[in-house]
Amino acid sequence: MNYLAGIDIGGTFTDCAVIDGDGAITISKVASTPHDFSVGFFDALDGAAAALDLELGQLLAETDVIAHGTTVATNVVAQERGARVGLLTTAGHRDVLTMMRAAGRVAGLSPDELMHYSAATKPPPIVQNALIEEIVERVDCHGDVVVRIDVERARASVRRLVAAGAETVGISLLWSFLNDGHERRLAELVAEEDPDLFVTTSSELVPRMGEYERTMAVAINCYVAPASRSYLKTIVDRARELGYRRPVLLMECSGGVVPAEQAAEAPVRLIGSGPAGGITGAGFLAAKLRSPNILATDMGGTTFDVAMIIGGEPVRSSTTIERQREYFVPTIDIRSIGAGGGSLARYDEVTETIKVGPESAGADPGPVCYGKGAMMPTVTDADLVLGYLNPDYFLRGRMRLDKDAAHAAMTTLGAHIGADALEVAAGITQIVDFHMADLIRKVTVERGHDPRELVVFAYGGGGPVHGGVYARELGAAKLVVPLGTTASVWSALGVVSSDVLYVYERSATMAAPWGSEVVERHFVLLEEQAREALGRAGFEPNEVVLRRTADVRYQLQIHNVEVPLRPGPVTADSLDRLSADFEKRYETLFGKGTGYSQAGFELSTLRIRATGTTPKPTIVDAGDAPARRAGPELRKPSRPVWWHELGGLRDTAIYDGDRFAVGHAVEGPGVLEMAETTVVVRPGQVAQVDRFGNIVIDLKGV
Amino acid sequence: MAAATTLWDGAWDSYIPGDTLTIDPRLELHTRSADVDPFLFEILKHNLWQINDEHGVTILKVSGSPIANTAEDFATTILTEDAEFVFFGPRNQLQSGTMDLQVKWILENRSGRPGIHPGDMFIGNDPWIGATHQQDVALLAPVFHGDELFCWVGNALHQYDIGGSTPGGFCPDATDTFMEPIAIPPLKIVAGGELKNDVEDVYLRHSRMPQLLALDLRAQVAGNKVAAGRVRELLERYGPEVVKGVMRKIIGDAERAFASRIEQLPDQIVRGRSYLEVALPGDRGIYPVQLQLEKHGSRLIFSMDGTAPQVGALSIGFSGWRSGILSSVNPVLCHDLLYAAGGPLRRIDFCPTAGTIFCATRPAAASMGQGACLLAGALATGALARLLCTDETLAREAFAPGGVSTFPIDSLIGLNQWGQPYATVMLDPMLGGTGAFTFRDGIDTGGCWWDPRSTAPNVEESEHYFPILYLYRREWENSGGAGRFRGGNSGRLAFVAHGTEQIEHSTAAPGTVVPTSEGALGGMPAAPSRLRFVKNTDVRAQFARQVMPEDLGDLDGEPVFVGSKQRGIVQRDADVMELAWCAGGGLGDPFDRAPEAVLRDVLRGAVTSGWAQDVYGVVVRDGALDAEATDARRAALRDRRRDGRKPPVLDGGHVRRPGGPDRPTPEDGATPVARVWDVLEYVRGANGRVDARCQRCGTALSTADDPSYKAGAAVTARPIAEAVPYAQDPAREVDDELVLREFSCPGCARLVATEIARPGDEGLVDIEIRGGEPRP
Repeated sequence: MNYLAGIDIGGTFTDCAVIDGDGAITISKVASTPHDFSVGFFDALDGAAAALDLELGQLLAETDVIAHGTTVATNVVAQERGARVGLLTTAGHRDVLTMMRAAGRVAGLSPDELMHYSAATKPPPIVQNALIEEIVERVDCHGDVVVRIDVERARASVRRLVAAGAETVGISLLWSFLNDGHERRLAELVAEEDPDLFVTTSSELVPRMGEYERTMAVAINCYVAPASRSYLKTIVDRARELGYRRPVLLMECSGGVVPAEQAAEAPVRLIGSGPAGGITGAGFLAAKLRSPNILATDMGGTTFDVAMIIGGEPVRSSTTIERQREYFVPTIDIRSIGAGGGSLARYDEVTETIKVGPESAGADPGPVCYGKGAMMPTVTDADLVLGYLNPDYFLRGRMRLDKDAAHAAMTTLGAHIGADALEVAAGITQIVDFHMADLIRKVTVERGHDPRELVVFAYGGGGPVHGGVYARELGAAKLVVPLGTTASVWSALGVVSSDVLYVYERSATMAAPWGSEVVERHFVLLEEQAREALGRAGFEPNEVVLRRTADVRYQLQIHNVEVPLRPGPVTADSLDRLSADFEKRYETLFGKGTGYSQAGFELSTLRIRATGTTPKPTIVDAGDAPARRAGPELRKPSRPVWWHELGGLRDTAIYDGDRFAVGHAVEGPGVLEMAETTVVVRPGQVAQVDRFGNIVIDLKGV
Repeated sequence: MAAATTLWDGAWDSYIPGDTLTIDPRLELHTRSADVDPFLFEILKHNLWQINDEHGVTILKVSGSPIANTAEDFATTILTEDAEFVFFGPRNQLQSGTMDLQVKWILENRSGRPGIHPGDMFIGNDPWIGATHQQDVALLAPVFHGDELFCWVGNALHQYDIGGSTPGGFCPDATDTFMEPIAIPPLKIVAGGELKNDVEDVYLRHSRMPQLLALDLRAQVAGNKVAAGRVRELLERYGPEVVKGVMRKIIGDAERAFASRIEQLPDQIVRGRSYLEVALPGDRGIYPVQLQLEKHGSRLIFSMDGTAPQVGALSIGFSGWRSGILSSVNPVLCHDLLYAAGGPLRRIDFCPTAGTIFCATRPAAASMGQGACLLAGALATGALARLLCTDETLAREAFAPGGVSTFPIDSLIGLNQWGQPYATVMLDPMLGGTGAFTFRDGIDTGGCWWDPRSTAPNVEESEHYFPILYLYRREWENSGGAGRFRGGNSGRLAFVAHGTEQIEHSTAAPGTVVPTSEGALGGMPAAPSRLRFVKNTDVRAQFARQVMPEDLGDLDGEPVFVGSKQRGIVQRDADVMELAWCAGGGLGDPFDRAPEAVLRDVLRGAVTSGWAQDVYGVVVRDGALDAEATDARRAALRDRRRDGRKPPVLDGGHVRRPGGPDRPTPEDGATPVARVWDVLEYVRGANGRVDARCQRCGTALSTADDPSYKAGAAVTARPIAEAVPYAQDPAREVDDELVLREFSCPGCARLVATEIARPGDEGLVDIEIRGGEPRP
């Protein structure tokens, strides 16, 4: 059997999805093991092997692809336990990382946090001041050397860093993306002092204009490198010992996978790896569904991630923010908004109302109903009290939920406003659903898209419970719970559906008219790098797809728009087409009449996206089947469930979703219980299993 | 201008609406509201917040302007039918605070003719009606439900150029408003949803960049349309009474919370004073500006007694002063109220004096008003810090002035290295050091309180678009005011002209003579802004020798004076301009700072070891603390404080010997009235008067004649050039001297206050605790 295995390690759970050659999916979910994430990695694989009645070694020997999304790098940053990083910068600019362009005090914070002036502050530095050395050298905006590098002083600087115990060294000089000579010279000097030191140069990692975000990318890369590299080595070695013969592929935030050896060169790209797996899976499925425009929502225990797929391509970004630190990295644009199952509900004395979030109970102690001692009720507690969740069938019954404790917490909270437990719980879910709708709307509108024109995907533990309300409030017509039962391990499935992807980009800021030869030369250089990388990953030149894009903007304006170039060498004609395509796209994104062509055009970043295709999971297609009402044989015992649309508790049909087949349909109100997922069908909505096994909810109903 | 003739109608004096608005009866206002259940309230409140945010996002998208996107120099708002703020938005606070006034003026002056109708929008930038300065253009739109005016949405956006004698519109040499960008009283530019071409043509005609102005206008129109449309969707879905009920409750809740915060503070008056320098190029004057904040019951009353008459290009109208103050009230007192300023405004009175720098009468020049406006905000920050420090909980929100208390504008024009013309302002001073808090240090290069999301450009971006090459841009060590909690350091940079024949500079830089980020409660003031210029240096030769100068002192060349308001400064490729900007004030006596914290600062390079010794009394040798030497040093410096010129005097005229912590001296029968942080204590004595004493050692600070704590304090005065980091001799540019006065407890020698003043100015009574006696 040729298996494909996807593993996604999150903060709380490690998920695994194994797909056989016929498309049969086996899932397993185990607790994450933060002290050594590799333990959870193999536990999860072991769980899947057991479900298939195989030894782990047997499974791995018959596996063609292991693809992996990991939180290891994210955790290093979150827990501030990264390497001692040494940094070499241009003379006069040692403070670039602490100044943070003044943005670091509030970058990425929610409005509540932003407005609390006395509370907001910059994050702690990840490079200690004593480990920053200024190098006498200077290059200007043309890439011309103004001050030659003083090699002897530079060598002394490197020696000081080594002597001070730097475990990794970052090199980021002004204008190095136009002239990398001084950075390369410094890398040589470091290698001469200590050939084993991990070194990152900014001109290689992210050759783009903007020294703060470029240097931050270098610093974070160096900061997460030792822990990430040692983790990657552990799983690669162990997988090999167990009989796996192919490269372990790692999900990067760009939405593609690369072999572990290459991921180890730029581990900064592993930050955001897990969520990228989810959106990649959504894209894979969306293509099957011929739904080009998707809003993907992942409601987990502590976070709520939102991303979009437009025209079959994920919406991307070249910059991201991790804990208020902004840095360059080619990434899928995934926004985390402050809501999730763990969002806390509390009484607010000022308004005499109940507030929900943005504070979260986190994984520990979690909701009251987890019985780990929490006292403050959360959204998950409300879901339980209202009857959406089954206390005896949470995670297939592996974890019993304490409904009485949740109920008591609601009663206590309700006493503040004279409401009973059910009323408070109903209020909490309504508030969180509407808030999510507001925040999702903000994410879509900011990127130039109308949520009403998107199909909403809901996954993660909470998505299928709450999606029926937030998707309806967004004005969407359709909600998809992907492949039904796999929704709760969706990111694990996503990583195995991903291609190998390399993104190479560089700043080439030029006002039009552009010289086609200059632009072509940049692209050729980027393509050489991409081909070389794909070659190292084992792809033949003819298996490789290279796509060229350019970021273009109007001069005096700030919005960059990524525009694909037509295939073939760059010519004057193709550059004219580029300008025209840019103007069209700009109007689509920002509105008619918003272009300012009198100012002229400006290129900012040139980019190559190079893909190598990997074996893809088969998604079983059962073919079309007429809709048929799910009959009594699919029912479980009914229970009272709260529907605010109907004004209160109603005895509600509960379905065994695991036994649903293509065509089975349920008219809301109703609840579908599956192995790891609960789908709530709101009154007036209709849920139906499609030919691939997705649960598709028609939000406009009958 | 005599107060008796002040009309407050916006014609010559600033417009100040009365308690009731005079509105044409043909305009029907929607006023009915319903009670809303608590959950729906939470949902709709969040919804209205997001609508206001989406309004801003729409402007960012359509405009694409770097002013809006990078500097966030714009604001959006939602107001009730009668122009109370529902949401003020988290963007540029200075612009937010102007829009309620403009809408009230529209209601009073436009409701009859031409009338206010569905689909209308009014454009306005008149400093006497509502704008801070003419460059900030507001567009205000009524939202109707049926025939009734339900509410307003509006935005204001700083424009590149709307005319005036100087590109960009900051006119440092304007002696009156007729030399400045056009000021437009609110004018209907959109009628029934359609942009009126004729009116637009007049608006664009004055600009050097009419297409960009037109694009921004479309962005402003689109923003209002989106916000108004989404409010109307809410009205459809929930009914106008419910939505109005939510708006009223948002305002009412904020009012109640604000009032209960204010109420728990003792009644008192706090004050702040600073100075603006150089009214016009060549002027050698220095002009006091003063802010008085009276706290009475649950109200705050702001006034400006002691502020100089309007002069040159320094002044602002009433709204500029008011929005400066609001920009400080919001982060200090409303951070958990979503900046719903409408509620607090019900409890705030503004009592301006017409004809002054803070409330000028037409035709005063106002285009440079950001100087006075920011300074009003900084003074409010300091005054509010003193006020809040009379309550233990609220004290946590207090902070010393800082975070760009004044912005030194250095404008550059010329041809860039790509042969294109350019005009720009150096935006690096956005890297402001924020003022110290009562529980932690200010933030080094942390930004500013009045525009929380604004940022500074990358060096590479500036070098790409403009023909300059930075020698350095780094944190400015020692610039933050010393204190138990240190003010945040700001930054400094130097550059040469690079790839161009010449750059022409003009400056509009308040806060270069006067340090405008004062210390609080014994904290020291921060460095002022500074411009230095050296011509014909050997910088290019040093480059060739593989040397990168670290400071102007490393260069051979001719230092040339640069004024704070000067045009026509020419820089060539061997000329070096250095720009450094004001930092954050310190809070509390620097000798109370833990020596370990000072050591950390020294090791990080935030404070030099010399400065640590001089100002903190902390001795660091070879990277380690010398505890013994530190004790000795601090003791010696304390003795010097006690030698202050004015001997402490007690009731009965006896000179009191210094007391100490071992000799607490509570007076018989004295009842405590208030404490100011852990510095001052106010007690009512047997004679019924409220007197101040040192909280640490109990030594009386009031005297027989004067209850002010400064009266009995030991005081020293030093020229600012000696006492304030990087301050220069004022004689370079103005005729008056400036000193830093330090007021210490004559007992324990703890520093309790500092102030900057002209030698002849009386000590400012910056705290006056009333202790319950009736208001005079």
